[in-house]
Amino acid sequence: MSPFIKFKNASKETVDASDELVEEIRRALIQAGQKLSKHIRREEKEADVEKKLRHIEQFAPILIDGACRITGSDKGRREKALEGLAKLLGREAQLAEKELNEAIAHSELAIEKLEKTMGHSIADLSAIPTIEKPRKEEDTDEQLTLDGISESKGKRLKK
Amino acid sequence: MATDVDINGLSVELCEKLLRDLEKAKRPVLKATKCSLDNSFYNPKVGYLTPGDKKVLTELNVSSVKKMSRAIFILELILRNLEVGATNTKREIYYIAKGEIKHNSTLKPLDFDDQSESDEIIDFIGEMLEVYREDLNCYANDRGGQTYSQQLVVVETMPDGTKATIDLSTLGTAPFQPKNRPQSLKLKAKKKIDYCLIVESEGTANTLVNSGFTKRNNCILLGAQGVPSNAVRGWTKLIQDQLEVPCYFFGDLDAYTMQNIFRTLKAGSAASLIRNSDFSAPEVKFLGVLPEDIKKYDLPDYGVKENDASESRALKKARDALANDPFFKDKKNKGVVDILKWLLANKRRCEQQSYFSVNPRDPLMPEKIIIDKIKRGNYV
Repeated sequence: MSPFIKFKNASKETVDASDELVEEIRRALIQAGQKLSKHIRREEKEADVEKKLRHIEQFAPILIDGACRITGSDKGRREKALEGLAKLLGREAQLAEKELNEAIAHSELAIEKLEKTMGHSIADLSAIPTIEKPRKEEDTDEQLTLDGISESKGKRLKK
Repeated sequence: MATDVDINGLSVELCEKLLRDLEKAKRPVLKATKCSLDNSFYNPKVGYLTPGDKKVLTELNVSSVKKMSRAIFILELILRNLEVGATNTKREIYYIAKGEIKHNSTLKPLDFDDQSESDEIIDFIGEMLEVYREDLNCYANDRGGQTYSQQLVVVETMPDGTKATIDLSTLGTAPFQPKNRPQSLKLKAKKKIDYCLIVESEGTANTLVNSGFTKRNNCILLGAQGVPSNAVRGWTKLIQDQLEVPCYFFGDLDAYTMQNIFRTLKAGSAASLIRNSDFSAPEVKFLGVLPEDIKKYDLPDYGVKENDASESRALKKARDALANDPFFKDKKNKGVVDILKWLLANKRRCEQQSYFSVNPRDPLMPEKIIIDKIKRGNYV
């Protein structure tokens, strides 16, 4: 496959709508979708962890203050308990991060396995079933413009 | 009775452990006795439901931090109450907590939406420290248990240590109302008391008293007012233990009475496992209405309406109780089980007031039947 984009004319306004190019675009979109989904999952998980930590941070000082008053503990002990809690929360965040990475690795492994059983890459051009196979240029006389709107040769000629 | 429990000491110990764990960056855990049927055991020699080894562990995490913070907050309020000798109801503690939160913005996250949330925390503290709510100076309204007797004398130790002597025969038509803290009462009999009759319906108990039941019989008569409150349970236990008189329960013949009212009075309940030892009277007998009484006295009974939600629920619960409740599974309570089985098989019920139908022109007929049943040992 050529690394150069095929254009229909010298003005480079219209991209050649070959099968090869359409499938390339589909593959790129699938890969982008996968990466976006991974990114969103990570964002959601991070937001969830953040929310949980904030929840604990909201209540824990009240808990520690109450326990300190009941036991008649001094400020030093309060600080020490808060430090211990911070460590606990840090561990919690690390644990969540680890869980997230494990989940991502697990999903990648699952994709690999699926690819193996299918015998080709999920994003493989030829293997992806097309909903509607693009008609050949010579048959349809259709082209893709850079803004994604297809137009017929006839129209272009009129223009 | 759990009167000598050092609530302050237990609370300090609990908070010390919590702080120590946090200092070591270890998750603190609060342990409470599991108060449910699956942790209830019934030993016929003991006579009431006792807790097993199951504990509810609350570890500090996202979902428990609110409950733990609330528990320590309410515990502090309770300790303050104990220090100054103030007592409150659960509703009052709810409002005290609301007031504290209102005046201290840092406590805002602890705010309670309704009373059930603070009630749950008070119960949790009781289960954690294994003490009664009365030990936490948190009292329920003294419902039921209005007692009449011409022979009974009650000596009450007041909170300030002074003693009050109440001779029930001098109260006229007024009853004696037992408190939720029976441990402060001592009972004496001016004359030999033959038995104690606990009547499910307070109205019927009053009717019997008005017709002179307590004047003609050397007895104690009390109205349970439905499901026995802690006051009624503790009071009956006190009568049973201190006066050593036989106790008879006179109530309706239906599944709800057998499994909720009579079982709770006799063996306590799964929800109050830690207090059953002082709030159940294992020697109490079921005097009636017995299934055979329907035929014997030609009592008007009626069918259970299975399309009535509460009645069908009571029958379903009765089936569950026979299968799972350790009290009903024990052969010592075969008599009660037989009644429950009869109720399930026949789907009939008969109310205690039906005794009034036997000879409507004789107002003393219910009394005669009751005394006759006691004399003949016609009870379960």
